[in-house]
Amino acid sequence: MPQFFSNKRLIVLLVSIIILVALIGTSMKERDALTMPEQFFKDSIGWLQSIFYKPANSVAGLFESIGEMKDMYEENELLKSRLNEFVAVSEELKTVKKENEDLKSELNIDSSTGLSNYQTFHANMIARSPDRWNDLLTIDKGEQDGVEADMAVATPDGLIGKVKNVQPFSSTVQLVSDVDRTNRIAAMTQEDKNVFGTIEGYDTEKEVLLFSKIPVDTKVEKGQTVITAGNGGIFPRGIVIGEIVDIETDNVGTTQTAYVKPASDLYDINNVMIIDRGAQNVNPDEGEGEEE
Amino acid sequence: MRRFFLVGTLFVLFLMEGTVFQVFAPEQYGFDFQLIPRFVTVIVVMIGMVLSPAYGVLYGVVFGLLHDLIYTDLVGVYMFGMSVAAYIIGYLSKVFHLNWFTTLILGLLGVTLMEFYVYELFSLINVTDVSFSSFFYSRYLPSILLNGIFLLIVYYPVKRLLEDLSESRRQENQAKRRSFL
Repeated sequence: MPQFFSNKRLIVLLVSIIILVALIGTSMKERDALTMPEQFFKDSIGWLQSIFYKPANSVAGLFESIGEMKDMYEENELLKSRLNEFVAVSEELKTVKKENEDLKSELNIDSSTGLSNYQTFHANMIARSPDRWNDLLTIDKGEQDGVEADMAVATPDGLIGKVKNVQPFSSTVQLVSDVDRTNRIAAMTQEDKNVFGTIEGYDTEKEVLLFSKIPVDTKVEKGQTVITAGNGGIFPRGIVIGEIVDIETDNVGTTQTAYVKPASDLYDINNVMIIDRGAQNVNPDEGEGEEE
Repeated sequence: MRRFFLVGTLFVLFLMEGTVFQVFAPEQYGFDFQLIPRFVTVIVVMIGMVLSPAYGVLYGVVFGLLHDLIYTDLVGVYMFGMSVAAYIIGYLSKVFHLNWFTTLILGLLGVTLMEFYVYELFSLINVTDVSFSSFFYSRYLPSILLNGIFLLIVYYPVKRLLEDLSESRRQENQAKRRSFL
């Protein structure tokens, strides 16, 4: 057996450890955009990944729908009974919306600049990080389709994350379950009084989000729905995040933390919506125009 | 020709880890444990054993870097881990006579080395906050089972491919030496 570590090899090892630390250090920094080669690799491999992902997904979907066939009858009955309810609720919604618009126009509020004004567009997931340390998805829409960094990403059930990096033809989504100190969302509950707080991380063992910085004198209860607050600047108001399952007072006793179970299944993701908060871009332009 | 076949197979496996395998991942069906496919690592470690540690390092650097770029946002973690695992296991394998059993044990040792290194590194820089026991029981043990089964399935074809490769390389070298003399 040759000598395991000759002097030369030891030096190579030490140099490569130094390079490793330097690489991790530079790539951990907050970066606005990826470098050109990174974008190129991600895009071209993203295209190849979509070739693999789509057939596999349709095969899995076939099995799933066979499994669902059993429950179809019961579900159908339930849905029929809910349908009557739906008609009544939608009528109510119509009148309330009308009333809201009338009142707004009386008060001269421009509805296009509201916190909850946004547009969505759809994308398909094409890959996911196989190691569960990084919860990153790749989706098949990129800069060319109008995706920008930091846009909110949701499924019909609720918020799942935000766009982290954008390449020309694909982009990377950071899920809310990714442990990252910059992964924060302004959130609120909306029962009889608005309660504001911040989603500040994810508990991987309990599989819940931490909704913290809630003032200790406000009352939050189990079962309340948590939505995005929209005053963080990036996300619009009103995207469902999840449901409160547990509440705890912090050590210091000035704030409390609620555990929020995400509304959408973070593993069973196929189609996602990217949420573009168009209203944000309107105001600055108008302001500049006035200055001139 | 065979070399391109090896690189192609590794690349397809690399793509499958992130796509096809994610569709059938156990979390989607409500299971608690995680199965982490490390198919590329398994084959890279086998390259280190059968061809030579140096080739293991070469393939480890290339495919580790690819993994870093595509599936994480930290460059260098898997590049270093995969190549060091292939190097260490490549040298260790010289002590043993390689048959399917020793290859299985050493291959899984390589995957273990990389899993523990990545876990420790990511805990250090706060990419993860998973406790060691939950890492070990719900992630490491099921994954090692999956990768062990994978290694046994691909053992014969991959071993033959690698042995053909090293044989043709030896012949090339001999031919070169002869023409040199």
